[in-house]
Amino acid sequence: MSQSISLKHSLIDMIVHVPTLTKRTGKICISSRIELEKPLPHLPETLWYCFDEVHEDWLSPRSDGFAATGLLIAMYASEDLTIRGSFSPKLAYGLYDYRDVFHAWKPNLFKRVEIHFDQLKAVPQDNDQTGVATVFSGGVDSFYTLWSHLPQNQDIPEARVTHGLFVHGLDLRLDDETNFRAAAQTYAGLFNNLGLELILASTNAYLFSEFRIDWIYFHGAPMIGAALLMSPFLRRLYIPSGFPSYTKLVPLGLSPLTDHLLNTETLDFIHHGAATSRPDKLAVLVDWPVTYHHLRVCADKERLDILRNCSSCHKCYRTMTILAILDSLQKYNNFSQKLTIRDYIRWGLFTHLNVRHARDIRDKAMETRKYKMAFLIQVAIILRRIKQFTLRFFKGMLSEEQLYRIKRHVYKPDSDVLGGDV
Amino acid sequence: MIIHQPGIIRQNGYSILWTKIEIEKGTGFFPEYVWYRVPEPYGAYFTTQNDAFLVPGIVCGMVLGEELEVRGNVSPKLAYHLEEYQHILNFRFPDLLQRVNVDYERLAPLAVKPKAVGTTFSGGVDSLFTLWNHLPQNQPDPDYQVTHGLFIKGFDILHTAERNYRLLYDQYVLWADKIGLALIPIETNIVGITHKRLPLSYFHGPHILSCGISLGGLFQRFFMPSSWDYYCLRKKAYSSDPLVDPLLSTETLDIIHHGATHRRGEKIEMIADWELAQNILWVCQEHKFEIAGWNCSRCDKCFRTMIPIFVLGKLDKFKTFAKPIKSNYEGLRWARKFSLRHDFFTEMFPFIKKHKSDFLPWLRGAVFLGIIRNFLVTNMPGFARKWLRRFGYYVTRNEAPDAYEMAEITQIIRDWNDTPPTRNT
Repeated sequence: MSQSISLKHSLIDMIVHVPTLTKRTGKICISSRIELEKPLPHLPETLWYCFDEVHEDWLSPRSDGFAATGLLIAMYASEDLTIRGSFSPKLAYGLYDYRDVFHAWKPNLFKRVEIHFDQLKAVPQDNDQTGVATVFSGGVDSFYTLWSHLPQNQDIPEARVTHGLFVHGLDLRLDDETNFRAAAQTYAGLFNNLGLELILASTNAYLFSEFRIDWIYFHGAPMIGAALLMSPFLRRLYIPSGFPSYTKLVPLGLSPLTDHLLNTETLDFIHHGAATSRPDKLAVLVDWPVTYHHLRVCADKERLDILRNCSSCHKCYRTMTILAILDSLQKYNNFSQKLTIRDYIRWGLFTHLNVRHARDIRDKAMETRKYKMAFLIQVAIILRRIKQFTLRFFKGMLSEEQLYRIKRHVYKPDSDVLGGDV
Repeated sequence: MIIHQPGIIRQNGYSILWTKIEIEKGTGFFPEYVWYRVPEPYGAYFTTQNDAFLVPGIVCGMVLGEELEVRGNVSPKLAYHLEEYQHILNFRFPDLLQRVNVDYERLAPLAVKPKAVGTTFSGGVDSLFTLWNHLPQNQPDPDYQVTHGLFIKGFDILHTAERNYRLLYDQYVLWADKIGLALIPIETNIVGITHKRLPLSYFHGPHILSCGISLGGLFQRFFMPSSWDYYCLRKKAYSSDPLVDPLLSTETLDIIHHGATHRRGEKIEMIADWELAQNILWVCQEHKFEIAGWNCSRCDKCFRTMIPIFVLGKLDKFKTFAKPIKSNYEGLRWARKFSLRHDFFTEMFPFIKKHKSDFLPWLRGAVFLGIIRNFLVTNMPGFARKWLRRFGYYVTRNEAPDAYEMAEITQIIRDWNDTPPTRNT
């Protein structure tokens, strides 16, 4: 089915242009020009995804992969969105709900804008769409989803995973090629040993949100976008859930409420693992030797050294405390092997401790009668609360523009390694 | 619990899709057979895939705490997602619903390519809103334009209320014809498997959706009109919402929960000028069809619907309210049937403030008096309730254990199987 739909256009429109496909040194890149009516400073002109050239047959230069990311940018910039090029009708339908959910969650950050499509055309269905992939980054959630869909743990053959998708530019900075290459090589070997294949991709999507839209709301769209470009090959993508459980159904870029809204006629997105808390996931993983010394959870990308976690960021602390509760920290030599009182104070005071996650871990410590640890986690939570209150007070005095400028000054901005080359 | 391989009986211009569900632990009435019945042209779309019985069956299994054995074919996609579905329901109702194991005899997708797009249609605000949004003039994509509506008997309208069902159906079908919608009357006793075990108002999702799934050969897409919006869902969710409904999709049928993005007032505002809605809107909880107009105009739901239409100044265009509100003062009558359940009334304040602010004091008065009344009614001692029942209070239409049964159809299936009646019947 192919058709042109013209709806009422507003005066201000952001355009996602027809994607183009280019080849460069063993890579194949699909990019789309993002044209804002009122350009924002430091925003790249094109949004791109690159894959290894061997996967050329699996790629399709449709606009589907650029829509969700483009929509969030348009909603932030308060400009109606026009998407040019072939677009899945099913995705088009879901995109309206995707917009409404994000607007309901964060009405000030994501304004409700109109969406216009140039050409609705269903994704062609053929017998080559056999790939069942899982998003993989080496973290707890990724490993848990991978484990759950191995043949020995998944009775339904259609649901077994065949590939992993590791995207550079999401959790690892785009200019940190060394760490990505090294991690990718290790994980590709790990997948190989399991009889699976790891697909590598990269994107500059982060730069569109940098210092503007909190990454926790933004990261889902480009991750799903990468998979949408592989529509000639993939029929299902598992998205490991970062939620502790359905109890904490909070606004996030990847959510069981929104992921499936980006399904197309041939590709299903399945948010997996929201039913299981992080301590429970780790309780499974500590008995799976494949994960030993391979867990990569670190949020401090400056100090992360390939698979060696910094052991002093909030994600490292979170994982280390759970491993300590499970008496399994020694199985993972890529973490520091001991947690001191100083670590707990640092966790609460100098990192982005997530109170909800920390409470879960504290309760787990109580369950396993590790009272001293539970007490120290509680101390970290209180310190975090005090810090949060103070920061919120000062942030409240600044405008959005001032905050953006301060963040750009304080933190090192990522760089678009491909720049205008694509 | 065993859900047997379904069968299809074609007889007297109707098709019946039926199966037998065997339980181990349950006490009290349990249907001998469960079934769906549609008039003959649509019977061709029934399939013997067991998905339609599995969806409500798993909720029944969870409430009884019985492991499930499912015979016949089940969609692999549905089977995969039921794990998650169970987790969510168990998480929301840990004391009521347990997670259970399910054994599938065969996992195989349905080998058809259905074309139609359906929605459940009761004539209420939610279903009219969903239908309105998927008419060709509002939904440019033909693959999402609704082609069929399912009007269910054996859900909010019982089988004993044949006259009421006919009355509504005859009107609905007239108006459906005008917009090119095929209205399918479908009957079922599927609610009977959880009746008296789970409250229907909270666990309606799987039952309604199973009717759409039963016509697997017809629908490629099925809309479930949302009863609660995202604001309500933030506080409480039950068995039908944007999180759980899509999990019941199969390889050939997409389930879409539609309308949670709009509040009830917004929905009413959007359909208020639609001639079809003005002529057939039916929301009443009292089912007093003998009076002029289908809606009693005195129950809580009638008031919740009438007030937004009244403040929009369009109530005179709606022909289905027996005693429409004519003045601000009459808004006070809401207090007589006001219910605090689901907290629906709070959304009305901003809506009324926006459209007719002089009605606000009367609304506040109605809510104040209504809360007092509601407190007294819900805290009435047992002996007083028992006494009041003789005057028709505290009596619900579906109290009988077999309220959702239709003996005539059970007999047809029995004859077809040539089996004697079991003790439960």
